[in-house]
Amino acid sequence: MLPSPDNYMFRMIYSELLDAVGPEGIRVDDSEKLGHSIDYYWMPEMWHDRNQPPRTPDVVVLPDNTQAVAKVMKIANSYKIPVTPWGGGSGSQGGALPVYGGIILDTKRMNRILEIDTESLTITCETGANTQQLEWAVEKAGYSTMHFPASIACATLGGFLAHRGTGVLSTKYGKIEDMVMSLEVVTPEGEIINTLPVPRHASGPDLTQLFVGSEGTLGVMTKVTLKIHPIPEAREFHAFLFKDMHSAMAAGRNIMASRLRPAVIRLYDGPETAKLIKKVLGIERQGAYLVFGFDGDKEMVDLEMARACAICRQENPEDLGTEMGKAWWDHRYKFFYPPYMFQLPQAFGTLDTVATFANIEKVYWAMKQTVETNFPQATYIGHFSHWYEWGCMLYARFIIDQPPADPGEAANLYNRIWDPPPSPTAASSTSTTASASSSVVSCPSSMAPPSTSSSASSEPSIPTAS
Amino acid sequence: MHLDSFLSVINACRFCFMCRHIDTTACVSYKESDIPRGRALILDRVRMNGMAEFERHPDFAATLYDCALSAACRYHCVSNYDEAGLVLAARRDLVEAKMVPADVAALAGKLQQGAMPGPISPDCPAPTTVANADIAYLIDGYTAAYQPEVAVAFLKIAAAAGLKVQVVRPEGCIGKALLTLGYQAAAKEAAAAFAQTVRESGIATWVTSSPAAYDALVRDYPELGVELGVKVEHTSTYLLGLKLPLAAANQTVYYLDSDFLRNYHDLTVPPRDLLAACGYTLRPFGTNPEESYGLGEGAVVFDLLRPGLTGKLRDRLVGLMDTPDDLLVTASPYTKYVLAKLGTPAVRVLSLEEAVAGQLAR
Repeated sequence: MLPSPDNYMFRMIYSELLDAVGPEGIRVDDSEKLGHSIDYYWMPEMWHDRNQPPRTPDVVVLPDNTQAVAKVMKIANSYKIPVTPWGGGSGSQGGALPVYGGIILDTKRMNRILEIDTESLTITCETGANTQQLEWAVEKAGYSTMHFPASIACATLGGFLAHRGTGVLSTKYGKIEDMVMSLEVVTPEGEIINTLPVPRHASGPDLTQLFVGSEGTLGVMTKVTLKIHPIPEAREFHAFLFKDMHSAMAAGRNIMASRLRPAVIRLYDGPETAKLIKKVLGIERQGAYLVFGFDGDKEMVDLEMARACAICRQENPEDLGTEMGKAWWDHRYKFFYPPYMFQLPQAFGTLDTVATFANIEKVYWAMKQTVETNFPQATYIGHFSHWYEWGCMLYARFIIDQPPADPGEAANLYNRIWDPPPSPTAASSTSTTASASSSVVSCPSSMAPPSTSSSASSEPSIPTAS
Repeated sequence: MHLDSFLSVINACRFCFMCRHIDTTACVSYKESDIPRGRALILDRVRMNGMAEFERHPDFAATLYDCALSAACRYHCVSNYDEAGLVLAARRDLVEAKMVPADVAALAGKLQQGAMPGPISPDCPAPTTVANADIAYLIDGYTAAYQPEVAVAFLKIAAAAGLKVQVVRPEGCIGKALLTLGYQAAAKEAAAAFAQTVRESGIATWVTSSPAAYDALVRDYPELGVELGVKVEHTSTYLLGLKLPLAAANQTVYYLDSDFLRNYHDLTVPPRDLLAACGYTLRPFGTNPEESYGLGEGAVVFDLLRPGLTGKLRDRLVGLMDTPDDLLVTASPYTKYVLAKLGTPAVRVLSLEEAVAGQLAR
């Protein structure tokens, strides 16, 4: 952290930062410190809710170009001051929190679109761009990023890159790591580097992918070239209600195995169908809600949609039709607005996990058993999104309606949920979880506390995509 | 505290980022404290720890006055949480606790003494007394000082329609600006005085070109307990109801929604219908239909209170124009003033009234 503001060293460092970013780019007011002390992670929200003093940065800097970022990094490196990059602050795991104080490097002023290449269908822009504003601008030019995460309105492009953000249409258009062509990065020492301009090479490791998902620990991404897409002629949706999650999963798996190319498949388990689908879409029935969509040329969409519906009907679901599929698309962000989203005093966390089709249901049940056995006060719900040819992502959540009032006790309980099963009894009862988690599950940030060791990061999304 | 009555808004907004992309001030300041989440966090701490929190953190109060009150976030929110109402309640608390920032107090003092946004333009139509007038036309401060052509255009249209119009030009704030600054008691006093003028006129229909004045008479006055007993219309809806002799325009224009008309009264169609009736071809402005292009209109006197932010808002709007020659149309005299008179480059902008008057058949 920086020396106290009444120490002349603070004034010296402040003066250097001011020189680097200009008067518009440096803030020490309490309003801004408070705003940067809480991201979308439950822990600082709870801490605030219980009227505990926030952990704030000492200084917030907002450079408006790459050179200024490099200067800030050099200053911080020289004085050994922690730097935490901040985009939109909508990360759900605390990655953007200034846990060591120091400097918050807010990227939002770096939001310029530098080039739209209509021949190659790429866009080059700065990473502080708000993704909804970016999408609007790209749409005005006649294209789309096809990146539609739940946090589109609040997160920055850099946040998605730093945390492997995923949009609703990822099954067809890919996650952010599939969309990125190249990056400009400022290293912790203040060096500016550019990765190769295209993502396919004849040999060698892929430097671009080293930075994607590095959560800011390897540098500050300042510029990116992304793929963009023509706006499709048609985009259609269809929804079914299956008697249980297993039959719905079979339908989804078979759609992917058939090598149709849905833009999206989303499957909600029974509890989430009952809790959220009912609340947002008004469907009040038992079962597992499955929605999928295709886009592209109308003729192709109609053909693929007919094939996918036929696959689903093999499981004898209730056909909710195109209307309830379209309603889901139209309301896809509504799930994340109050009062639809979980709110304090509830405690809640997201345990997103990717696995193969052979294992994804095992992971679901093992995780559910682990949570509900060890924490009977918790509810476990989940949905499956971001489907691949070989598997999908489980976006699971735990919810505790009445966590302890004492902030310390609440924090302890919350952290215990992320820990491995606490006793041999619990471990044996959740062996499937342990097995699945350790051997086949890619679990980059879930079931682990947020990193507090890094001096950098920005935001993923409000649990991305969902 | 008045903000206690907005507890549901604080709880909803304090951890929600979903309208960050369209917060008017934050779009140019990039401050976390300038989105509804940031303001709700501040006010949650005030709610928990009392007004002393403003003393401990002097910039908290100033941040609340950086808010442009466009209400774009409320309009966007799927639950329409009243983030603008929360800010107004907090400002009222600040005034009543005598903790309002000095620059705000100074501006409010001038308004209470009858000061206008600027000296009345010699080109502004003078107040009239007309026997058996069909309507009263209320001229707001920004029109009187800086945009007299708005009033002139309206009267030209009214004359073409054969209307008898009594022109009313108040000598000071009719309450709106004071209310947005948090001076509720002074606003009520000003409103009561103006309401008496309205009632004494005996005119049943009042029309104004100012969305802020329209909002004051239609929404604020009843909330302040001030009854008018007359029909109030904004010119966009009133002119749409007239049968005007119009020649079809052969021009493409970009209509800028007014904060008050769209975000406070959901009036988005009448201004567009009016322009379409004049034969204008409308193109959507900017990249999206959600953010505010009122340039601080919702805060009524934002140009006086936050000239730096107002300039940035203007710069942002200019940056979103398709070409420098675009012709913009606004329903707000305030917005037109900021675009036409504050800053460079020059922007081609018309009021709704001018756009219509220009198409009156000769």
